Amino acid sequence: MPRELTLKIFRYDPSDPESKPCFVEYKMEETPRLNLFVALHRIRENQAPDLQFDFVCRAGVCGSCGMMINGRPTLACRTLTAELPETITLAPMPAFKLIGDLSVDTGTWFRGMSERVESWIHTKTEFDPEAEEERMDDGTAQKIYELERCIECGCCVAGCATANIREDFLGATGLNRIGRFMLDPRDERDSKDWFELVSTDEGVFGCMGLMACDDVCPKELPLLEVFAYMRRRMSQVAAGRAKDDAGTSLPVIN
Amino acid sequence: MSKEVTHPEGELMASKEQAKRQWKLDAISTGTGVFLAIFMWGHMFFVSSILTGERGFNWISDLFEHYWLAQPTLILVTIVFFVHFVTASRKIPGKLAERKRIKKLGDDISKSQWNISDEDREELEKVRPHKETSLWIWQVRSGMIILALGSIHLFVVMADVVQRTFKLGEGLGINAAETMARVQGGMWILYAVLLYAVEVHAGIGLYRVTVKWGLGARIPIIGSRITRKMAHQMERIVLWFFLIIGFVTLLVMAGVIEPPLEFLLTTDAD
Ligand code: HEM
Ligand code: SF4
Ligand code: SF4
Ligand code: FES
Repeated sequence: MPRELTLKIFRYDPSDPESKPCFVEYKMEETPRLNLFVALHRIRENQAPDLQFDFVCRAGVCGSCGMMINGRPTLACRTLTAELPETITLAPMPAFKLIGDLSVDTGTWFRGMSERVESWIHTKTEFDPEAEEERMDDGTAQKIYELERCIECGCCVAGCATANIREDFLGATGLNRIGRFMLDPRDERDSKDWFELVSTDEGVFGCMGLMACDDVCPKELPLLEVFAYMRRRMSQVAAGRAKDDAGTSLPVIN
Repeated sequence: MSKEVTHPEGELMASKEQAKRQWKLDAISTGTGVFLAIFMWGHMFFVSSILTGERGFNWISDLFEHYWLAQPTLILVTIVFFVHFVTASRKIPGKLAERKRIKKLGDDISKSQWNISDEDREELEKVRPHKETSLWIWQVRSGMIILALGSIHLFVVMADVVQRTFKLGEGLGINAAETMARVQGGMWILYAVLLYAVEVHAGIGLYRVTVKWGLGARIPIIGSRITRKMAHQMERIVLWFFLIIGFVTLLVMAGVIEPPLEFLLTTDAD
């Protein structure tokens, strides 16, 4: 006997003054290996043609489908209904601007974060289009890649108590981004340069260590290890023991 | 940042200063917390000397007061206690609304913005416990309890020690008979709550300190890296160890059970 699922979906269209936020129930029969990506599309096809939600890759790569599934921020495309009870509550992620129903604007948030982190390689080396690209040793490349895997889904921000109450908090993904550039030998910023960005209440010392980010990150990035490393390194700077250490490696993942 | 520094150089200086201050405050709250936790272990160890009977307890308290160990420690701990309170409670959101927000991180949707009905709010709340987030809430709550009850306790102990040191009144200092009389006279409630609050608070605190500062670091000698699971297990063991010793101690003081280790100090002459 297939289960009958009840999806309680948050409905609200902020652009429509008539619209009132509420949860609406949709019922459907569970089919084998049903995931929420398919379930939501079925609802849109058969029951609620105006339902708003985001999907692109449906394979956990693009990071568009983050939402609160039974209270936990995670990727809808990677969530099988079989993993959930019969009643499934879907809500948009908090901390981001609501576009409508389950769809939120993560783009503006992430752009703001990237600008503050100055999320690009800082170097004085002149770019020579003729020259052969510089080689990077494999270990370093692997470590950078580990942190680069962030898909900007925003789940860590939605689940973070700090990010929920402080607009200016860089969030786990922001701190992870900093870690990524700290690792990069091509980036000439050193610990002292990072200090004022990282060591503030908007940065790692705003983080209360509640660990929700680490628990919800669908890509299982080593977020807590990155933060612990940053705290230690920033303490060295504060104690005046920072070396000239641009591009040193994070010893976090192996 | 709402700083009113307009010159770019000035702004840079200001944010550097700020970064340094915020690092410092965090380091102080962690440092004082760890200090207090370690102190509490030592404290528990010495107080549990009552498990060997009144003689053991009195011997230790006499020793500490006679050799001027108790007095400076008491002053130092009192200061650290309040410094910790001031620096750590900085992290407690000042606004009630923000505290509620953390508490019910479950209500994803803030009332002001999206106007969600109370019914739906409750619906959301049920489904969203995050263990570490609630641990932090318990840390704040237990901290508040410690602040209230710990201050009373510090005051009582201070009064005892001062009496002896300056030979006021009977001048007995801390002694088993008086302590037990106090516990039996009703203070056991205060001590039971305080004990539980301190162990929970310090347990969660140390777990969080390990995760916040140590995760991924190599442990000297052993060589393996600190993991969250490791920190969690350590916290468990330490928590139960001190809770059990603490409560047995309290039961002895309350006269409910005999000191279980009395035989250690019993000689044939007795
Ligand atoms: C014997 C007493 C106490 C001990 C052993 C103790 C221990 C600790 C420890 C180890 C931490 C972790 C620090 C960190 O996360 O950086 C901590 C944090 C905290 N303590 Fe205490 N504490 C004590 C008393 C108090 C008191 C009186 C308060 C008053 C409200 C308090 C409030 C807090 C708060 C709010 C935090 C969280 C700070 C943060 O998240 O950074 N504690 N405590
Ligand atoms: S550890 Fe907690 S406070 Fe810090 S970024 Fe992660 S969820 Fe937020
Ligand atoms: S760190 Fe993880 S949870 Fe956060 S945005 Fe990146 S992939 Fe998503
Ligand atoms: S649709 Fe791309 S991550 Fe889910």
